[in-house]
Amino acid sequence: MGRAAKSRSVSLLLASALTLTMSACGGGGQPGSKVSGEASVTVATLSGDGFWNKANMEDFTKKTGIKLNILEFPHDNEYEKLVTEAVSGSGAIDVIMADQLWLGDFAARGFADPIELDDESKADIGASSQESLSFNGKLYAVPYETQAPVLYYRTDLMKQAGIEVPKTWDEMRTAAKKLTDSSKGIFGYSIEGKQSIDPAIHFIDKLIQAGGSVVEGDKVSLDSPAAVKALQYLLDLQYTDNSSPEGAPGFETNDLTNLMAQGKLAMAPNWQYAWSILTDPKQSKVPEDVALTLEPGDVTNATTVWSWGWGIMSSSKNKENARAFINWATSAETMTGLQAQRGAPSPRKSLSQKLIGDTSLTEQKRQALKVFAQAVQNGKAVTGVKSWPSIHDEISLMLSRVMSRQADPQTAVTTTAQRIQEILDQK
Amino acid sequence: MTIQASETPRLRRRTTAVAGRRLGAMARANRRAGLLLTLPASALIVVVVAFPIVWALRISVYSDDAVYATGEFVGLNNYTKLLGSSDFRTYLLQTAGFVATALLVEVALGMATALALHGIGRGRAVIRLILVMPLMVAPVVSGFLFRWMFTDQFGVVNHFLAVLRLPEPPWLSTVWGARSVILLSDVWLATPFVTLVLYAALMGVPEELLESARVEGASALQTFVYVVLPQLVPALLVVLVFRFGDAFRVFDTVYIITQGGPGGATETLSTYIYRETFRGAHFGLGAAGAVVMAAIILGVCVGLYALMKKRSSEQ
Repeated sequence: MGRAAKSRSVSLLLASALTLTMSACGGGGQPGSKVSGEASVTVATLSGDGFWNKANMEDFTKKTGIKLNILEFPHDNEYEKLVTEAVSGSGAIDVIMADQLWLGDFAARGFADPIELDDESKADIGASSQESLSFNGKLYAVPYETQAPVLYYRTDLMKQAGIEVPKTWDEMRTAAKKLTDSSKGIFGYSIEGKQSIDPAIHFIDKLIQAGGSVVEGDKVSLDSPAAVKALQYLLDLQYTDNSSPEGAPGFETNDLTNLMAQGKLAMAPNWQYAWSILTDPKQSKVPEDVALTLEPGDVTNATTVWSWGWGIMSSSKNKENARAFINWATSAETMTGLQAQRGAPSPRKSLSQKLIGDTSLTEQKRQALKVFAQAVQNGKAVTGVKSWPSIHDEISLMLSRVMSRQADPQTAVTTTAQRIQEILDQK
Repeated sequence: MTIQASETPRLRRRTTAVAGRRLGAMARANRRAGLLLTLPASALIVVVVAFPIVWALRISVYSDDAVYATGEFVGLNNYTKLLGSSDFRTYLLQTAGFVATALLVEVALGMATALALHGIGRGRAVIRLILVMPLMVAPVVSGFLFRWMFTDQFGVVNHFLAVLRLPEPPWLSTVWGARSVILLSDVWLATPFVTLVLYAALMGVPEELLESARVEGASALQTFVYVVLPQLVPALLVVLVFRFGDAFRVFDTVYIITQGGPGGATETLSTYIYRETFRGAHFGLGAAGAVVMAAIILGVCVGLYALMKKRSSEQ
């Protein structure tokens, strides 16, 4: 074979390989479709086990004969991926693991179907859990997990300082000041000011505690003395009392969990999941000395309530199978297993009462479970508004601007309220 | 068969003509084969590259729900809204500030490193290998690395500062601290590329030019400014074209390290467009933002290419 012919053959081979590779990359079937007539359902979940142990899911196919396809998305951009899928309307996803943060917006845009609960579930699943996943009075996802932030504190440090657990903001400032020992690098409290989701949630908790709210109906209600007071409270803890670490305006909840596990933080708001970390001797230096209580308040000690649930995509082409999956996933039987694995109260009252009454658990654990359940019961759902993700971003931005001292509380609140109203007024 | 002497030039002409025709036919056949062979890949590239651009242009002139079948044509409304938005103007300025600073630092550092590398006798290969290592790191990974290194309270940078009894700045919670970390992360990722391009250009500077500068008694600085630098201009322009586009589109490191904070101080056009498009579901506005951003990058790159062309025609 001549050189030219040889090189032509090689080029042909390379070009064919390139074309084949490209077509292979573009291949792949529709995950939600029926595989050779076999009934199937495609469920979008968070990556990893997160709030749900995927090993359980095999049980669904055993019980119903419906094949289960699982698509995993990272928490950080689950919403963006689902919006893209919903917009394309391909029907590739049937069931979504829905975060309350964006479910209201998702429902408002017609991306999710409303779900009717049977009488037994309606009576057993807590009212605040149901409300948190509802929009315009209709439920859009069946809750399997509901949490409300609580205050974690160090029992040993409280005892040494001879102080009671704070119940009001004033008591909190005094206690945090007393518990701060800069020579040992211990701080009484830590604020969170990072421009991110969790710090904004914990600010909204303070806003509720001061008697304020973000949105009432379709009108913004943020521009209020309560919002200014909540921001000022955080500024005082950070800059006037110096009870919070210097870098806290850049912190989010994980930083607080780490600091407390290192024994460097006396009090901090946090989620249920932090309990398993802070009481685990392998992950925490103070496993025996952590307890929790409801957050201290100004006019109330309530916080926001946050749920995860299973919802149905309106573009699903397997709605019956999707409903069968949700019925299985939120049944008392499946939820009993989930509650046992997670060791956290279920949104089903009958199950959470059983767990709290379980005498085989330690007193420390049972106390914690009671507080978790009480916090959820007191909790307020704030996200049942169209465009909540954008509103939440505005609150994150405002908090971060104030905590990094780029704006004073009153100016920041007024500006943010105007921007939120503009978001609400959009078509 | 014998050839008559008088026929030789004619025959030669004929032979040449036949050979020319054959060569021409071969060249045409080669071109045809080349076109045919690359046609599938070229068509695929056109579809992959052109389709998203046309689609983005379409979405940018429709209402936010244009991605559904029901989108309404709104003309240039999305562009008017975008250009009238104070957020867009703020983040455009912030992006421009970041690009200018990053390019300046990267070119200065890259030039210094390339000159140092050129002057080294032994161990050049090892140093070159170490230098290219950041090029193998994905921006997302670099983002995580820098976030952990500069985290207040746990970060390794503040740990060393504490060991040296130096102040430990709250890097990520102050405006300029956070901007510095983003800049550092970009400089770490991109400077090796600048170094390698400039180093390759340095290798191409004719030895005679340097020799004659030495003979004329030019100092090291004079040699660099008047002899070496003019030879590096084409390479510098290539660096600027590539780095401008990359820096202007910065997203990953900002998203991972600061999420645009504190208080929007590190927000860039890319993060703003992402937020508007996917969290706000403003697809029309987001597409308009992407088109404007692409136009800015294209405009600057065309300008730089024109400079390059002018430069090479002068040479």
